[in-house]
Amino acid sequence: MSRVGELGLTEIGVEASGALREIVTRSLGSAPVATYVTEQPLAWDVIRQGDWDLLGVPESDGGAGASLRDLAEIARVWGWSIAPSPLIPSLLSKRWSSAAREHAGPVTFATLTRTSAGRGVSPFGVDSDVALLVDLDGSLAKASGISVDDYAPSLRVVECAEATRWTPEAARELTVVWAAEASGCASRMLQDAIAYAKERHQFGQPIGRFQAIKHHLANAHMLAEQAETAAIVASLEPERSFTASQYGFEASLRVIEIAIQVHGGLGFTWEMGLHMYLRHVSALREMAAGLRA
Amino acid sequence: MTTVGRAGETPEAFRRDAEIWLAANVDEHWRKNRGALSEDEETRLRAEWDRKLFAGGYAGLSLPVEYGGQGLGLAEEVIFGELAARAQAPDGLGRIGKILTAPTLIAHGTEWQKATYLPPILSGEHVWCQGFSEPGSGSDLASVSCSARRVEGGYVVRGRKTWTSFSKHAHRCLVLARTDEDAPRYRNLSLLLLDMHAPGVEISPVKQISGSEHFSETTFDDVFVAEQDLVGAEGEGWRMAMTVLANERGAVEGITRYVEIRADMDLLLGCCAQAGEFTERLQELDTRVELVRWQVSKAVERQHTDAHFLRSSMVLKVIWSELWQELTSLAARLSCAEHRGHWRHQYLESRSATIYSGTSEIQRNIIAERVLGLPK
Repeated sequence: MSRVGELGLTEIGVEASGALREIVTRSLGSAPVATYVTEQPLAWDVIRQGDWDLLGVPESDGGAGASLRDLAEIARVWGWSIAPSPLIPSLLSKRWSSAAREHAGPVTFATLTRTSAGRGVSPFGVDSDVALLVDLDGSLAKASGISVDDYAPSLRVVECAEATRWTPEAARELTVVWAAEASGCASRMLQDAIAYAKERHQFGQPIGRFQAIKHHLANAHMLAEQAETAAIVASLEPERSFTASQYGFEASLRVIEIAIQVHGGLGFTWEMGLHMYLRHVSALREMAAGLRA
Repeated sequence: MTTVGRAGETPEAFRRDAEIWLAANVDEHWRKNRGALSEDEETRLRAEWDRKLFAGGYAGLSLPVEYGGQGLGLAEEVIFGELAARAQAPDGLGRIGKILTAPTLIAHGTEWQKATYLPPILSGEHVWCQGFSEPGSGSDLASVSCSARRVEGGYVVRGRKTWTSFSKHAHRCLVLARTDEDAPRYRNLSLLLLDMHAPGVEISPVKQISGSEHFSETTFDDVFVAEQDLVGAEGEGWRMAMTVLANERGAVEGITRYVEIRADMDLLLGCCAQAGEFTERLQELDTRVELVRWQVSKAVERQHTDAHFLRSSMVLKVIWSELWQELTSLAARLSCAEHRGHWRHQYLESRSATIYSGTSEIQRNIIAERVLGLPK
């Protein structure tokens, strides 16, 4: 694949991330996340019809052959809205497994984490139509859910008896894609915080005029930039995938924490929904940590 | 060797040629003894480096060919900056002339000024210094009080400038001075090309906390500047000083700093830090050092879209300077006996990085206002 886009992006990555951004914007606009996080705003049919779940499948197996760098860009776009649809797990499962590829519906996996006490943690495993990939070269299963973990509503996590047996390469790719998704979350939260600082008035002026707020947001911007750069490095330099991703998660979380601070009292209301991103990214970080065996 | 324009060369070919050229031209004596050279010798080698750059066709890489530059772009400036730092090439004495005076004159200078000043800047014959900051005007640069009073045939300049690098060697100084006591802020300043050998110029070195003397304080006691050495229109100094500067320097300086910080990181990891000590912290610092390099690449790739370029390039200075301080602070704790002197020096030296060319606080204001669009 020839290199056409920025820093190693191929044509697939440029086109797919652009198109996905359009779809997400069309269906969600700038609606507050709290209004759709418990709904299904992007139905599986939409994803299936666009072959979005086959983007990462090698060309030799009938897919679009996106590179890891491309998938990172796509995940960044996805992180913008954290729509609760199983696109990312399906996309990766179908990249790695032929059984997943043959399955027309969504597919997910389950990771072990420090706090899951030996259970698998499966994003979107709550939904009954999502199949579970246990062995990358085996057939699909149905998650035997034990309990729902509703900490991050956008991830629809279930704790189950099974855990996916990773190959080192799959574990690396998933870590990178999640870190990229987290950086997309950070960029969105930064944008919302900037907009809020411009419109919210106190002491007779927009709070964004105060240096204390400016410096918070300048720091958030520097961290968001580095989180994005970290995702790019992680996708392009395999020996740095884990360390760069780890830094990316930390930087992204810090951006969201700052966004909450800048939103003041509204920042810690359930309704405002900023916490959905905080929950989403900290859950991704926890699951990713479980991949680095 | 004659100077040849390099326009048309691919970045890959440029990189390969530059690597070969640097290997052949960086003085061995400099490479082995830098830091331990006498002041005279250091000055001589740095001045010689400017002449070598010119002879080799590496002076003014991104300046237009018609003015003696190479007609290349930011990508090549960054490539050369990285390779030169890796090859431990000297920092030429002509830096201010090339990165500050030349672009300013190309954008705003008269034909006479360009014809007179650009050739000796590029050839390394003339060293320039920058007369912007003053003892009373640091972060608030627009408040400079050094005055340029109109007299017959030109101006008489009076005042003090500080943090003037290269002033001891400089032939000319790019001075920001107040030409109008009544005009409003930002419209009362002019840019003058002042002869450092003229009567009334006095230089005294400023010793820094690390013991080095990179800067001076310069006093102008009624120094005459001819009319022909006013850049642009009177009262336009601030606008000109601000428009040309900033952006390109960020990426080139960023990559140069990356190479130096990388060398410090490697020394810390490869020698001083004991196994198991601060492992996670060291790993994070190591990752962040690499992010500086990639952040520069990201900025270069985005240079043709102003907003995107600004977003990724404006953050560089704060990121590398604060990272370097964290690194030297940890290294001062973990140092082995052999490298104690090095880390003590770096620790002290790195304090200045978050202060010069715009403090971290001013940089954050600029990011908030210019990049994020927050109200002034």
